Amino acid sequence: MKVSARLKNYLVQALAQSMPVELMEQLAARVLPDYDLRRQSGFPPSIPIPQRDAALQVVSDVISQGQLRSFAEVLIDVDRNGIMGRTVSISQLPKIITEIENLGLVFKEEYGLFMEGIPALRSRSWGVLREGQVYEFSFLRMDIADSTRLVRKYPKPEVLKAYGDLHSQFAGIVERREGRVWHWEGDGGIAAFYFGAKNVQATLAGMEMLLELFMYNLFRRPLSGDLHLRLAVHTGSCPYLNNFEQVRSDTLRRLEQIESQFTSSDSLMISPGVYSDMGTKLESFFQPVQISRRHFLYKYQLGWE
Amino acid sequence: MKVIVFSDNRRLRAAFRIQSLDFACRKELRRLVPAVREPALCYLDLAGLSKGKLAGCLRLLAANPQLCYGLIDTGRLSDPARAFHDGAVDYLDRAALRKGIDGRRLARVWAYCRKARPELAGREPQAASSKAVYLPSGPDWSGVYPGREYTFYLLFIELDGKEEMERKYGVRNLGIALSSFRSYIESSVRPYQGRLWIWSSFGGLILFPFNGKECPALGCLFRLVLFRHLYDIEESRFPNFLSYRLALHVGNLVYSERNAGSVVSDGLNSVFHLGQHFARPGGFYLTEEALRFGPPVLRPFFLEAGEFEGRKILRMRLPVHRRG
Repeated sequence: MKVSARLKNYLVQALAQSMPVELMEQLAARVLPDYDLRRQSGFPPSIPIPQRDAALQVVSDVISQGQLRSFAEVLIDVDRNGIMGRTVSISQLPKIITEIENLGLVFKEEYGLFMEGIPALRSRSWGVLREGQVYEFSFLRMDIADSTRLVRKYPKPEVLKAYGDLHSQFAGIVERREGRVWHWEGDGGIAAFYFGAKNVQATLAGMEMLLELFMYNLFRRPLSGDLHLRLAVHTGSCPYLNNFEQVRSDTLRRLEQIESQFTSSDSLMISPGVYSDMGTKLESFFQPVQISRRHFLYKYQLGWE
Repeated sequence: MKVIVFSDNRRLRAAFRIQSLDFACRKELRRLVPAVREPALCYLDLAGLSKGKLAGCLRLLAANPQLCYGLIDTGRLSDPARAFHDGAVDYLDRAALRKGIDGRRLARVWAYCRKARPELAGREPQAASSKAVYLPSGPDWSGVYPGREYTFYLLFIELDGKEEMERKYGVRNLGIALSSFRSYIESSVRPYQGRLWIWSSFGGLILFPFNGKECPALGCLFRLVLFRHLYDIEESRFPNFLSYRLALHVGNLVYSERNAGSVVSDGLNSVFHLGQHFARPGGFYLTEEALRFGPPVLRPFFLEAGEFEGRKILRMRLPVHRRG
C-alpha cells in the first residue's frame, strides 16, 4: 500500500494529540507483536520520549511493516469502544478513514475492517488474510448436476454460455454477502465466507442461488432442458493459501462429501454446525435428513403447492 | 364508468369523443334510468324540454343513487350555476360541445362525482370490457407523457393484517418497517421498469409500461413471490414473516405524475377491487388478460380462481419453502 505523506501526517497527529506514549506503544503492539518503542527509537530508559517523536516512530514502524491498515482499524476500535474501560477520543480519525478509502478500500462498520471497495480489486483474501494462516470459514460449494450428459447432449458454445451465466450469478450472489469465490472449475465452484454471520451468509447465498436457478430455467432457458444444481454449506478451519490447489483441509473434504454424496439435485444441504447458527426464522426452511444412525444434515428445497 | 346521453339530436353523438357511450332518445329516460344498476354518468339534452318536463326528468335522475348527471344546454338556462346547486355535476354549453367531450373531461367529472358522492367510489363498474383497446406505452417510460392515455400493467400490492400490525407495533417502529418495505418493493420493481404510482403506508399501485406484446412484469412478480422470504430474513424490519397480496391486471388510464388518486379508470378500479376484495392473504392473483401476454411456460404455475367483476381470475401456485 502506497502511503501518502498526508495520511502519515494525520496518523502522527492522531497519536500525538490523543494519547500518552505508553498507550501508543500498547496499540502498536496489537499489530506488531512484542513491539518495543525504546528499542525502535533509540531513546535511553532515563529520558522520556517526547510525544511527537513517539508518534513518528510508531507510524513509521507500522508503515514499514505493512500494518498501516490494521493499525488504523485498531485506532477506530479504540475510539469507538475505548480501552480497558477508558474512553479515548482519537483526533483526525475521519480524515484518516477518508485517506485510506481513497486508496480503494472501504471501511465496513459491521466488521470494523477496511475491505477492498472496488470490485476489480477484490481478492480471495479480502486483503486481510495472511498466507499460510489457519482461519475459521464457512464454505458454500455448488455443482452443476449431470454435467457430463449436458456436455454430450448440447453444442459446446451453448453449454459454456449457460455455465458462464451461472458462474456470474454465483459470484454476484456470493460477493453481495461479502463472500469470495475461491475456486471455479467450469461446472461448479467453492465460495468462502469469513466475516460476520458467515454461516448465515453462506446459507442465504445457497438459497438465493437455487431460486435464481429456477428463474433462469423459467425465463431464460439457454438449453432446451433445465439446468440443475447441488449446493452444500459446511463450516470449519482451513488454511488460507493463494494457490487454492495446494490447500489441504478436512473442512473442504467434508464439504465435498456432503455435496456429492448426500445432496439431491436442486437442493441445498447444510451441516449441523451451520444449522445451529441459523436462528428461528431461517431454520424453519430446513428439513432434517438422517444420513447415519447418529448424524443429520439439513436440507432446503424449493417446492410448489 | 358508464356514460349515457339522453337526447333526440343524433348529431350530438359526434361531440362525445369516447368509444364506449350509450346514446338514447329522451323518451327512453323513464324506462332506462330506473334500470341503471351500476355507477353511471348521464347527460340530459335540455333542447325543447318544457319547464314541467325538465323538473320531472331531473327528479327521475336524482332518484337513482347510482347516477350522476350533467346537462347539455345550448342557451336555455339563464343561471347554469343553479343546476349545480340542484345536484348536476357537469354542464355542456355550445362551446364545450364544439370543443368535444373527451375521456379526460369525463375523468375529471367522474373524479368530482366521487368527491361529491363518496359512496359511488365503492361501486365501480361490475362488468369487464369485452373488447379491450390497448394503447401500448412502450417498453419503458421514455414515451409516456402526462395527460395522455396508455395501457399499463397495473400491480396492486398490500400487506396483510394491517390492523394487527397497527395494534402490535408502535407507531415509530411500524413507520420504520413500512418504509423499509416500500424501499424493497421499489428496488424490486425498478429493474422491470416498474414505478410506484400510488402508495399509502401498507401498499399501493405500481405501473409497468406495456409494449403490446410481452409482460416482463410477470418476471418481477415471480421474484416478489419467490424471494420474499429472503427479504424477510435479511432486510425486513418486521419481527414476523411478512405476508402480502398481489393483483395484476392490464388496463388503460390517463397517466399523471401527480394526483394519481383522482384518475378514473376501469382498469385501475378493477385491480384495486381484485386486490382488496378478491385476493386472499399471501396470494398473487391476475386477470386472464394479463397472463395472455406472458410466455406459455408460465401457465402451469397458475390455477383458475373463479370470476370477478366479469373477468376470469387466476391464482399463482405458491412456492413451498418452509417445513411443516
